[in-house]
Amino acid sequence: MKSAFVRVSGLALLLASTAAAAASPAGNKPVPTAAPGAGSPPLNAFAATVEEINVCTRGNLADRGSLRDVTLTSKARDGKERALKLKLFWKPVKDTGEARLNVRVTEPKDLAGSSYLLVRSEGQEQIYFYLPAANKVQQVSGDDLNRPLWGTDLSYTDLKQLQGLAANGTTKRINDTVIAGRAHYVLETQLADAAPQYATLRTYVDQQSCVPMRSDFLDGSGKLVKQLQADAATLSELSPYWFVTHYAMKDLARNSETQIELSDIYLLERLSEKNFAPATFYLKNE
Amino acid sequence: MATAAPADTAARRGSLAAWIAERPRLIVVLITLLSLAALLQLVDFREQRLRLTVDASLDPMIAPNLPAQPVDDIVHARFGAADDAVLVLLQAADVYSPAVLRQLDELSRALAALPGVAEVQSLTRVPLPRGGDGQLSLRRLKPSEFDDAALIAALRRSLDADPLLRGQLVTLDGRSAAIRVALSTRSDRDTLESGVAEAIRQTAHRFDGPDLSIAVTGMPIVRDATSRAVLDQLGWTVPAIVLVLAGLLALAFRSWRGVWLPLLTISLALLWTMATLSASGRPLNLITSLVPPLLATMGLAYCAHVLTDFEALLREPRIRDRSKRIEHLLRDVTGPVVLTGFTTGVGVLALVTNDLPAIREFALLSSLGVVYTVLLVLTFVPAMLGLTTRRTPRQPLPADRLFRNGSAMIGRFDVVNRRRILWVASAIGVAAVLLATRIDVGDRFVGAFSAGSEVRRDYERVNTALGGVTPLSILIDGAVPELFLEPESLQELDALQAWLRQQPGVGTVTGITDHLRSLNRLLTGSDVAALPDSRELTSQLLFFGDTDTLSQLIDSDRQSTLINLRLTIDDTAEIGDLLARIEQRLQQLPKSMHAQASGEAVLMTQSVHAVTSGQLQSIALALGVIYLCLAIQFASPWVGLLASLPTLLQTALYFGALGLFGVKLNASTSLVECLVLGLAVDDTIHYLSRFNTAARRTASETTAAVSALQAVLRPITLTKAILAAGFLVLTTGELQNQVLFGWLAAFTLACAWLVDVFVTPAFISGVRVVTLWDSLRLNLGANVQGTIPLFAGLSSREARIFALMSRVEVVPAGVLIIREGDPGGDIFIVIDGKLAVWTYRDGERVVLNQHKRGGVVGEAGYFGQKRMANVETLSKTRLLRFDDADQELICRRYPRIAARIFLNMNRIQAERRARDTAMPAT
Repeated sequence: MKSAFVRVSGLALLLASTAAAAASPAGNKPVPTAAPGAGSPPLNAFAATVEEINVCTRGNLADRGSLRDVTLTSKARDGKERALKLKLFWKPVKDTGEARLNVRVTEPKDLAGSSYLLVRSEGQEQIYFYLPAANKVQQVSGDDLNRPLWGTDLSYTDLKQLQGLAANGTTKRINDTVIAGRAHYVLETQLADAAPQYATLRTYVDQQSCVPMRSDFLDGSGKLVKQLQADAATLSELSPYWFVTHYAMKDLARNSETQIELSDIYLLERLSEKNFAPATFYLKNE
Repeated sequence: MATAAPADTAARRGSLAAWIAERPRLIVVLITLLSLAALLQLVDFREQRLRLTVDASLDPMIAPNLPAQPVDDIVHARFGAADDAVLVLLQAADVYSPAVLRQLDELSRALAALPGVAEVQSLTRVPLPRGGDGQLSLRRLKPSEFDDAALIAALRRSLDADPLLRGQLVTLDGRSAAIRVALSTRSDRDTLESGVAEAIRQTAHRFDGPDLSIAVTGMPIVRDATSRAVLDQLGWTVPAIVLVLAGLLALAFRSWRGVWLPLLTISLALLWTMATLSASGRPLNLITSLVPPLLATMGLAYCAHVLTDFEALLREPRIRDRSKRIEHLLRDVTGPVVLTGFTTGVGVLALVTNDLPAIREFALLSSLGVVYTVLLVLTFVPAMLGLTTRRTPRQPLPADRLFRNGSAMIGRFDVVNRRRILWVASAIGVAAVLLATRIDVGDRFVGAFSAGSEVRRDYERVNTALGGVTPLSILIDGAVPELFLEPESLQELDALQAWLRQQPGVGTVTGITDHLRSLNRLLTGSDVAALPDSRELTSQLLFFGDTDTLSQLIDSDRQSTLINLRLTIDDTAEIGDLLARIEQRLQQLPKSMHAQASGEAVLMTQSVHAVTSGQLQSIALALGVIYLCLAIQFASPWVGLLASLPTLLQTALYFGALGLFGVKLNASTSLVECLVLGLAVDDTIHYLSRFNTAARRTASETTAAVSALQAVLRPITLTKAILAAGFLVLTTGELQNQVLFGWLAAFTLACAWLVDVFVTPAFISGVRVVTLWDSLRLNLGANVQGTIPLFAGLSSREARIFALMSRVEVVPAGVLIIREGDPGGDIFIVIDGKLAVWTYRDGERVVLNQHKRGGVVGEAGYFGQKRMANVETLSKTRLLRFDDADQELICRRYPRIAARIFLNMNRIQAERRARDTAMPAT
């Protein structure tokens, strides 16, 4: 009954932003590159405020057009696995830096050509999707941001919160912790939305890289219901950016799991604007 | 050795009785120490709490290994639990009015904030589709929008047009709104302990008012209310039973002793039983909680038997010594009490074959309680009677004359009208069996509450307004992955759903095709909610529209799907009929689909059937074991069967009554018979035991039948009244199945009383029974087969049975037992002593013959002639006497023994003719 397609943009946004730190010119062997001007000044770990930590986190985002392949492998309650392959086009608005995103499904075959478009304008998100079988573009909006989507364990809010892109709620810094020998900030956000599944998000941000390495989603009673875990072995630095290329999201209530594999990123300096226009985003415009 | 054994047994029994009778203080001290130990086990005095825990959930009531359980497990593993929700109904003149919408929103938020609530769905909590023409918005209705009449009207139109939402959140008439509350608790026990169901109920009913009416239902609410009602009832049932029974005892014995001693005894039995349960680490559950009332009523009934005997002995002038009186009491009651305890124990222990672990625990715990009760009744009660009785009462027992005269009158009536009573009993028995064939198996969970109860009222209101509460699912597996992306498969599912909607008892039906219709309309902007016409479109709609709700209906491979139904019925018999029809319809699906029903409704139905059939097996087993006991006691399979007939008649009457009054057979109603069977047979055994003794003493079955009734009418009336009163206390409860349980148990006990008082005496007055004990106790002397020619070829036991089926008479010397010229009749066999056969010849007495041990006299008369000589005892002589009727009886009961006796008699006659051709026959 409650459709979740409106949240796909959030996932794409996250994936794009996560991956954008490691990019290579299209058509060449991928070479990680940092966006000019990106990065953030080092923080005083003891005195850093929530805002400073969020700025530092956003400093890992790239600010140019790019393409990246993503594979989402979800494991359902009954143990069955299902893979979904996407192409993710990312190009912030040149002047304002506002996010624009085009997600195109390549596999499975029945879904090939299905596309999403997210554009942000003056802080407002506009989301469109395209159904090839109906040859129809539909603009959607909604406020149900906490439901899993695409048969995965990810929701828009999960990932948005993780990246600090749109932490809607009241965030405070609580006691730091050490995970696998690395110091982490711990941010606790009381979510503003009346989220049915969870009320609190606890984010563990690596102090050295400002990359969120773990997010715990807690329900009203403080019980852990979901967990997003970065694979620390894939944490890499391409100065001044840090990124992770493998995540696992576990839904403890549904007993399911989704693996997120991010491929190399290709910089597409001449990525057509048609990819981000509601009338043409679903066409092959590269 | 065979003759030594009974003497030893009797001696042992006697010495044990004497030992107990002579050491009442020691017995009381030992039992006090044991009881203190039990108390320490049961109560943690340091923490000031009971060590025994209580599990009041209905979890132990669900039978394991049901056929639908694997399907249900698959459904839960594959799609998650979705059907175990609480439904809150709001009814108002217009639920779309701003005031009602505010209350709906406030209530939804209040419910969502409750601990143990996982999710709340309502008109103000779920994103609702809005807009059109390339614009689609899925937003929750916000409080600021409640006053926007145009928006609300558009929303209503949108909801009514959506095949998925239509009638779900708000009914089409706009007068009822639903809130669906999903719980985060994992089991019934969790739900009960968290108190979430009760919290939801209380929170929701706070919104009841003149303009808004609330109803709360759903399986968690019904189960929670059931558990609480049972617990609540248990809290006062045992005290109420004790109070009622104390009154009965006071009335029956008119003495303090007659009240406090039985109450103290059952308290100790309960203490020991509960302490044992506590030591085992198991909690008291809803079924084992029936053990205390059962033990209370049964223990009081046992005490009533012993006290009645004791009161009679008190009035016996020949027994003045206290310890002798107790010894005498124990000799009288030990056999019947042990045997009745055994049969009661067997009645409940037969339940160990049941599928339900809780019923198996009940069987073990109650049979252990029976053992404790019997032990206390045979040790503590006599010891206390010995210690506390100082004076011999002068007054007879209350209503003594009434019972004495009444029993004599009824006994004579029974004997005189034996045939008529047996014909009537047979006719009733046959009618009962025929009526029993009309019994249906079934149970109602909401129907367990009275029509006026809140649980029932709310259930009915929600059922009517929302079209069903009881959940049922149909799991459909495809032969290949992605089968349910194909339009043809979807058409099949759609047709099946349409068929399901037409079935009586089916309220709502939701399946993947409803979602696809809704998604097709919303995502393609179509005006018509049609099924997608291509595999690709289906796939894409499911992809874009994927939600938790959708993943609870179709798996990721699109190979398996669920159709969810809500039924308006909760009677498992009706659900069983519906399931049979559904099963037939599912057979018509294409071979590429395999469908099975699952869910609460199926599990409930199968559980009732499994538990009921298990209990029927238990009843059959109990009857079999009781028959076996009686056959062993009476040393004959045939007599055992005859002695079991009153019990069988009582069982037939019970089931006949169920058939006559349309009462369904289920866990409660079959449990009644299982319990009452063990209790009702007790009095039959007491009666038969008395009858047997009286028959031996009086050598007349008819006299014995009356005499035995005189001895037992008072105690069996008292015990039946005690038991019936105990069960009738249950009829004041809230749960209708417990009320029915109480009435049926009382009815069955009344039937058992009628059978005991009228049918058993009438029946038994024509039956000569020989107990194993009698056969062991009868001493026919050494080498029976070698010294008594009539018994040649028989075993010692067979010889004793024949002897006991005949009559053993001890005749002093000089008594004429056969008079010349009289008509022939009886045959006499000399066991020991001496007889002279003589006649007068020419006025002088001529002794024709003398007979010692083994001699047979009177056989010529037996074959129809007149007596041709006199037979007189020369010394004190023990004779075995039998006539034609006895022979007939032996032929019927023990044909092998009868055949051997006839053969031996022919030999004896032939030898006598050969040897004494000149001698006149006697």
